Amino acid sequence: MTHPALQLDDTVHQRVRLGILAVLSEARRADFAYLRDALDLTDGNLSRHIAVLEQAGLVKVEKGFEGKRPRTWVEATRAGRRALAAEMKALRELIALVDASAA
Amino acid sequence: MEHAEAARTLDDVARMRRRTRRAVHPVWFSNLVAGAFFTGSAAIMAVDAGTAVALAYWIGGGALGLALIVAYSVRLERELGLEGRPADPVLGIVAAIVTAAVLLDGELALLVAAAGTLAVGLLLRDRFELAAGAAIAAVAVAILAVDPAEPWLWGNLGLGLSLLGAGLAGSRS
Repeated sequence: MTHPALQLDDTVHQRVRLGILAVLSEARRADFAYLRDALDLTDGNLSRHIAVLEQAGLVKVEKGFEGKRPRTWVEATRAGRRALAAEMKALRELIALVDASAA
Repeated sequence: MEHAEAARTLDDVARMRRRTRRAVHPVWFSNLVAGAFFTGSAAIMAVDAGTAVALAYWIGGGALGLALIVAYSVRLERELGLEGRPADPVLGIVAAIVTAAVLLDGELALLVAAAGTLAVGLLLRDRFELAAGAAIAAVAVAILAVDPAEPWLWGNLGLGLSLLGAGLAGSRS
């Protein structure tokens, strides 16, 4: 059996990227500005993390306009939702393992 | 990775998910509208306005209330930049409450409404919603115990005031 710590995915496990996926798991899609404010990030920082997630196929980015206002929508892909669930499972297993060995 | 760090990460993710769920579901507004609707329906029963007026109120008022809630949600989603999921558990529970209210008998419908409100409260960790659920359940139990002359009137009044209270408290928090 693989140790739960080895099941943690570096792409997902990073704090900001985990936050992005957590927000997107509860919504159909979120605007770039909403994510930036909710996670308290700068535009550049958020862009970099979204690019990493997009490259891994975990989120989908869609640019468009709402009236005259430009909008960038970010949406978790099915793989992204699965990756978040797997990460949470690995973390819970890790905690259970430490608890069991301490008992 | 340490035990404490893993636990903290899980907590952070859960908190972020909860905050998003609450942002996308302004339940206080739905509670205000539904509360006003059910309190109004109790008033119509109390003055015995007749079947035609009652029917017009339920159909017209119900449609208007639903339209208000949808319009508010759409506006909020646009302002926030956050769109809710189409297959959402909160929406499913609300749909089940409305269906039960239409199809079931007085106290039973009230108990389903209480269970649904409590479920939404648990899902969103909203103390006002939980309090409203408990109040609706108490009203249902009281009606079953006392068996008043007009259980529908008291049921709708209890339901309406419970939701109104949760809506007002939620709007200020």
